Amino acid sequence: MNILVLCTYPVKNPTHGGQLRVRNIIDAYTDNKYDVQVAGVLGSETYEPEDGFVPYPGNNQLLSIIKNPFLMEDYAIGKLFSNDEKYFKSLVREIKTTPDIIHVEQPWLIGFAVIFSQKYAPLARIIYGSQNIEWMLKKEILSNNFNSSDVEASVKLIHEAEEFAIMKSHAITCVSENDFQWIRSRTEKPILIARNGVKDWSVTKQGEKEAAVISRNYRYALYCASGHPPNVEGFFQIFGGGFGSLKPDEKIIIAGGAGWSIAGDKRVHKSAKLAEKIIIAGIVNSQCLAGLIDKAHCLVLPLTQGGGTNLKTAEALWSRKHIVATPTAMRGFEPYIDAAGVNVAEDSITFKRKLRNVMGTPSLELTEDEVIKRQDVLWGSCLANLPTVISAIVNNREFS
Amino acid sequence: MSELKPTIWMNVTTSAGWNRPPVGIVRVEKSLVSELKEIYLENFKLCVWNGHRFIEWDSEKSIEKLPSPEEKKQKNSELNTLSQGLIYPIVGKEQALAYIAQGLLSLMPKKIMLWLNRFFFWSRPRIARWMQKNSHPVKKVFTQFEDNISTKEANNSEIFKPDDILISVGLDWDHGYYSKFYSLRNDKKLKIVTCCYDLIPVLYPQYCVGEVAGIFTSYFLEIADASDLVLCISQQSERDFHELLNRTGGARPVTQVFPLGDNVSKATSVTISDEINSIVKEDFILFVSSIERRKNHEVLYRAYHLLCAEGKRERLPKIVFVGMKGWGVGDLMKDIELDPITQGLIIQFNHVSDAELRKLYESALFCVFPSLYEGWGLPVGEALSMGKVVISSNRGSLPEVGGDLVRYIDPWDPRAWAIEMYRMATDHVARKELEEKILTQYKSRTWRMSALSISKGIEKIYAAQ
Repeated sequence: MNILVLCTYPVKNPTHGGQLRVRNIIDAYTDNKYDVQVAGVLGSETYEPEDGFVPYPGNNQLLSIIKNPFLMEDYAIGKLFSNDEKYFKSLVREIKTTPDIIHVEQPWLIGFAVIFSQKYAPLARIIYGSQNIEWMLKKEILSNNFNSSDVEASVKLIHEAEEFAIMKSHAITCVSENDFQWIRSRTEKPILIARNGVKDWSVTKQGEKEAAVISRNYRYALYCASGHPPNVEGFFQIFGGGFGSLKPDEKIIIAGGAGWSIAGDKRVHKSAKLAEKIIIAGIVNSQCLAGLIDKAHCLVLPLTQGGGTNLKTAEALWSRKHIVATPTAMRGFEPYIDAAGVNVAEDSITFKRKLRNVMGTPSLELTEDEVIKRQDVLWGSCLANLPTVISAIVNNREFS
Repeated sequence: MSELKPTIWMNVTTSAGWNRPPVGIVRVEKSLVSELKEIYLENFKLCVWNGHRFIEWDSEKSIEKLPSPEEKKQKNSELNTLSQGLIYPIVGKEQALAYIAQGLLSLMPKKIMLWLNRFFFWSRPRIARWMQKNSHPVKKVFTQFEDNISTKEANNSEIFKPDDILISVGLDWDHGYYSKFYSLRNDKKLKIVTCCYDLIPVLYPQYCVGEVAGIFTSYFLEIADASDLVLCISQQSERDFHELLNRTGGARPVTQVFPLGDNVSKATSVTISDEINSIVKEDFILFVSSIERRKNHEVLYRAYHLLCAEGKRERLPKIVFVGMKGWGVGDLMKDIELDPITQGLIIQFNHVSDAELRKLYESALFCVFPSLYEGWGLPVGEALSMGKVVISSNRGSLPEVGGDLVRYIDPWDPRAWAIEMYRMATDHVARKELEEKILTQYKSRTWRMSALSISKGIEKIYAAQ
């Protein structure tokens, strides 16, 4: 069976959450002997070129679709590649298969998939891979940057794109019970909850060495996050207003794209002691990340915005370290809220206090049973039912 | 505890560099030194921070010179002088380096800007480490940005032995040494006693010069982690301190409220200036405080303006401000100087000696203290200890000082101040009755009481071991 996966980011060397999810979905398909091709459009000029992907079309092109493409690039790309014949064909040229299934991760390329299917693969079934309730997330992100009337107009477009994706797909995957309920209220089509997970990792000597260079022998809390705006906003909402959670010989290391966004943000200097407490690791390789996680005393998940589920929460749970997280970060991982070493804080003050308390406790020791239970957060477990969707759709059967 | 008896060290870096009559925190530090010396005798020693480490300090013998605040000001003033006639003013080296970095960053194309910013961020600790290793002459500029390096350097403070006490109650936030307390406590096993006077720069940054809220928040967070005991000069300050620590996730150190002595010094010299001698011949109201916005001299001026406008000028005594002129009161002082209807009623003295201050307290009709916020309110206690009626603001810690022996007024209400000041100035019977009550009921706090309170705190530190 041929599966075409469409998305707006490269997946060979995944770093952010969306990329990791698609990468693992592809792996789940290929592990089940399906033939998979990935194609799409690069949603930013910062992405590396990759086979199957049309380069980022540039802001000038996107301006023909939307008045201000900033933070709306993905939406505009979706419209451009379904409405403009030239761009439509440029993406068609990248597709080397006649798919039985078109899995579109996020709603942006659904329009393209529908037309492509009509023209080139009329029997293909479309799966909409929902990662969030996009309009809600976009509303939060845009509200930090635009006035309310612009936000409202943009959110309306996103909402329409999302409704369109639900309407035009044959089945839907989503990441949490919360998202499931929202989608279910709109359609009777098959929906599968396929939570975000994490891949098991091992710590290498090289990784330890690289991590030690970054951590400079400090005891530290680790924040792993991409430069996705909610990761930065959450950080400042939680750690703004003065940061006293760490002792003078403790630090918070920020690994991932969020680090440089935070370091370049004026707010980091407005919160007393925050700037001097952070070490920016930047985007690190997987070995180094494993080393950083291994030596961290705790992992923090200061997220206050966004739907869906956070891959970094799965990573934190599998790290077997103490965790301090917001309820938003625990969305989709509710069964772990009372688990050993998991500290959930609803507000900034409680978060800071819990972080201090956690930093003052011994390292977390989980029992064997607790570790086994946490295997639920591994990708293999999270996506175990995905092939069921494929066979059910192809055979026109319901699935649970 | 070690076999040798622990030494009680007092950090006197602040008062060692002070050449004027002691006021405020300098007075606290000096007064405590006198009293603690008598309590701990040979186990009590003084130390100062010499820029690199703590060294023992003997005020008589030490030849090592510490830069006084005046000298620092002098340096700034030299820069200002050099700048005269120049389009671009000359700034300090540290500031110049920061400007160069900012300038480079700002001139870069946007794409490079991000990378350069990252480079600066990345290179800062590395340059500092390199400077440290190589004792580069400009290392000081960088080391203050890099806390972990300077923390290690503090271990060179060889004068301390484990279980010694270090009391530091000076203007610590003005010096780098407070960031060393944590490692002294953890590595040298020193017991650290610090002081929280007030959180005014954090709570009311608008009344302070520059962006001080962040600096003071950092200072309080640092001492919270580094102290075995934090002395607070009032319950209000203690509450404010804990509230800050709670809000920011800071450490929860042991705190203790200790009384500030309010016995007005009996001066050794009895020389009183002609100006003071002339003033004390007439009735006057006394306000002892530095002249700055937070102290709210303005409400007194407004109250007097209201009273004069109502035709009561002839019955009004003068108001005497005693204190240095500070920041943000230029317009007010100009108003006072030019306002024709209050002209001559409000006068100001600066640099008064202990003898003159005592004379002013003794001769005042009554005292006022309209501050918008205080961590304690020493002049209220001093006035009460001299048997004087006080009309005070009801904000911050002030009600803790005099309890129900003081008349409290909302500091934002000039009309209320006008009514109460006029009443107290003209109703001699009421004033005398209140003075009697103060004389019989007010219990003056001595600096010996302050020192004994600290001594008890120290005992508790050892008992908790």
